[in-house]
Amino acid sequence: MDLDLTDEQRAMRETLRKMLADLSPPNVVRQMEDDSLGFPPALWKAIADMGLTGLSLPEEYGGLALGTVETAVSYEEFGRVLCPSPHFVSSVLAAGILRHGGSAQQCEAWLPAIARGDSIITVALLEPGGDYDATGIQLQGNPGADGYRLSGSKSCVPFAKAAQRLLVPVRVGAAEHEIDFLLIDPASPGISMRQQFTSARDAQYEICFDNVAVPLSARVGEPKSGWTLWRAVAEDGMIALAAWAVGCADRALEMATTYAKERVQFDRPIGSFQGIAHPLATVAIEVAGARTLVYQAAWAQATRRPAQRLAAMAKLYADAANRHATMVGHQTLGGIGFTVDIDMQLYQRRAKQSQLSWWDAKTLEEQIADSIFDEGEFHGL
Amino acid sequence: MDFEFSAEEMAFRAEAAAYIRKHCTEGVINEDSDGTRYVDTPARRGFMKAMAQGGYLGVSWPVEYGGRGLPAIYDFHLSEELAAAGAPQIGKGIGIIGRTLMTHGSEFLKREFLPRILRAEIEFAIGYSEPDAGSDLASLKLRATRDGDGWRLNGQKRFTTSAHFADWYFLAARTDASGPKHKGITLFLLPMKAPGIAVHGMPTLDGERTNEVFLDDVQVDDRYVIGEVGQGFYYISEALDFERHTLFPYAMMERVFGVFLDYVRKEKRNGKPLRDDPVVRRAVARLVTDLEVARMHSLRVVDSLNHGRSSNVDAAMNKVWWSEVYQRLADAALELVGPGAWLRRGSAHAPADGFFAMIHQCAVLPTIGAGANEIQRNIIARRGLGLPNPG
Repeated sequence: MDLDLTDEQRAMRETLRKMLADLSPPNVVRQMEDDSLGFPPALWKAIADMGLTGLSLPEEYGGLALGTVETAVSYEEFGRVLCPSPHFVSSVLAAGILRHGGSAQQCEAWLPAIARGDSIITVALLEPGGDYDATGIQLQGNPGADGYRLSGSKSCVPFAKAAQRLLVPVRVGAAEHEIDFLLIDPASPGISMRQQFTSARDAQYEICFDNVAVPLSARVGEPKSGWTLWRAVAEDGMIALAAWAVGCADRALEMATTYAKERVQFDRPIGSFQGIAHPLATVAIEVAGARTLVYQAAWAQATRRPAQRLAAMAKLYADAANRHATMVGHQTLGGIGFTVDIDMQLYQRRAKQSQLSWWDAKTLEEQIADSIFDEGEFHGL
Repeated sequence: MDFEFSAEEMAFRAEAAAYIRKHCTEGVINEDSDGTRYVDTPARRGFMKAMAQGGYLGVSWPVEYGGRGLPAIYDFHLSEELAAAGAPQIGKGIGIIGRTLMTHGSEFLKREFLPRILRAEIEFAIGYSEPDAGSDLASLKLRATRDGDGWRLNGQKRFTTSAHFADWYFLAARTDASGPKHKGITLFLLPMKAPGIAVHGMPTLDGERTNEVFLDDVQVDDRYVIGEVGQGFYYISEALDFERHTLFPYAMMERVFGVFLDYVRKEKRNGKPLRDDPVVRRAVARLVTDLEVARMHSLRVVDSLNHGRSSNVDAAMNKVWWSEVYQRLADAALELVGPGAWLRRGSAHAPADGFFAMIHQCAVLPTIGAGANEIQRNIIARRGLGLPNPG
């Protein structure tokens, strides 16, 4: 057993941390709030120049062919500075879906472009009134001999304005998992989008489909394999977001601790009061536990051990720890932390939104419970 | 990065587990408590003797003292396997007392005690706490005064677990009341049967007992002073490190959780399986996550140890998380099991024969004992986060 990162992983973390300190400082994060594109192109280019847009893609597509531990290392750094970028939707989710289900032609057309950062592909999962379950996908695909016909809408689609393609799960049958993933040009006739304004102030869009014609060749993978594809990228997605939460929480704890050492009331630094120190100690426990849990999930995924339950636990726990860290951060900063000039609010709003996003607590708890009760005897965790 | 133990370690665990199972016969496990701390009955003493014969005492002791000379992580592995079986833990002799003697004891004390500790011939009691010295241990008052070639001890100890059956008393006494309070403390070893010692039982919530111990002109020979006079408080602090990685075994909580999960899998309420109840499923998902985090904290402690880094803060985190999850687990089990969960062992219709009602009471202690969680949070805040001391 050895819980330390390798020298290479540490070097990668340092390089990335330096770059993000330059290109993703708090004022850049603030500038991007409610921006229609949602990320600074210079930052995106720097991420691509480091090869991170192709982090986990095979070398044949121009990727770095690194594993999930390196993804976690990167996302911890992204979270630490709240890096505004479409990396998650494009380089984790879309790249994963195409790799698992894409035809040779689709992979060759898009994966090298994703790896270079030249193309951004986003995922249009949610629908108004639906949740993260397969039954939440109600946009009808209406597949026929000449293709699909879509009418309806998707909601909360990140970075849609920057995307060259949308990956859209649509319903093609009444049974729960009868879903196809379609790769759609957002410039197709009948598609319109308008920006939605979020708590984290990232760029999200409602996308409306008005009798949109999509060719059969746009389907990714076999017919009705859409939900299987979504499940196939779930572990990587959960682990990346969980690592992001660890970085975000760690920075929130750092800011609160620094303030507690400097702020004087009753003639002493407030951090000397147990009423301030003990909640911060609790956050330190939770962040440490979350980090080790996240890296265990990443290690299990990278070494092809069973990682499904670990990934769900990692996101469930790290998100809760992050939410708690940012709230204790606010409490420590007191009144000044309620003003928008102070960075804690940037962290707190994103912490909660991320907890609610892609796989929320309810979804994760159901998955964990299924994994416990669907197995035979309980043989440890 | 690697979250798996080495093949050698796994082989050791498998051998230890098989050996423990073979010798953990009728009467060794205390079914009335989660207590794994008491080697008080003939069956439990016999079990510890068997552990000694199998070479499982002192696995990390240096070979020159009769140990196996294995890395400290093997103590952790052994502790986990004992906890998984519900067997008594290796006693204080191997951890705190033996290690302190090796580091600071005279040749006489080493010769007198180390071989007998390894043969499981001595049960120890540890006398630290007093009525006015709990978390603030350095304020202890039990007085040791010079008397000819030895010492005369007078005063009172409280919460001396095992005093009612122990053979020897490892005791901290004040030898100097004039200077700073943590500089006037000395460690002694004395037989529990020494004239002038009176032990009064204090029944505890977990169905066990602890003790008050009164010392009235108890004579101790100079040879039974451990190390230097006045250094006792430092030896005590150091000794905490010897067992940090074995005090709160993850496997113990997993064992308790296993009983709960087994119950939930099989039982019904109003004819409906508990396992299908969404409230139960959600609670199980949270608990199983909290338990996995507990396992992560235990790995963090041994990983620090493996890398030769200080594990103080990691151990404090592990202790707080372990003890607080244990209480959550106990509460959740009672709530989810439903009406009658309060029934104690032996009552008609007691769910899991009162196991959950028993655990609920046992879970009160861990947030308090071995350094209250408030003290652990002070350690994390000051040593981990660098927050200032009060005052």
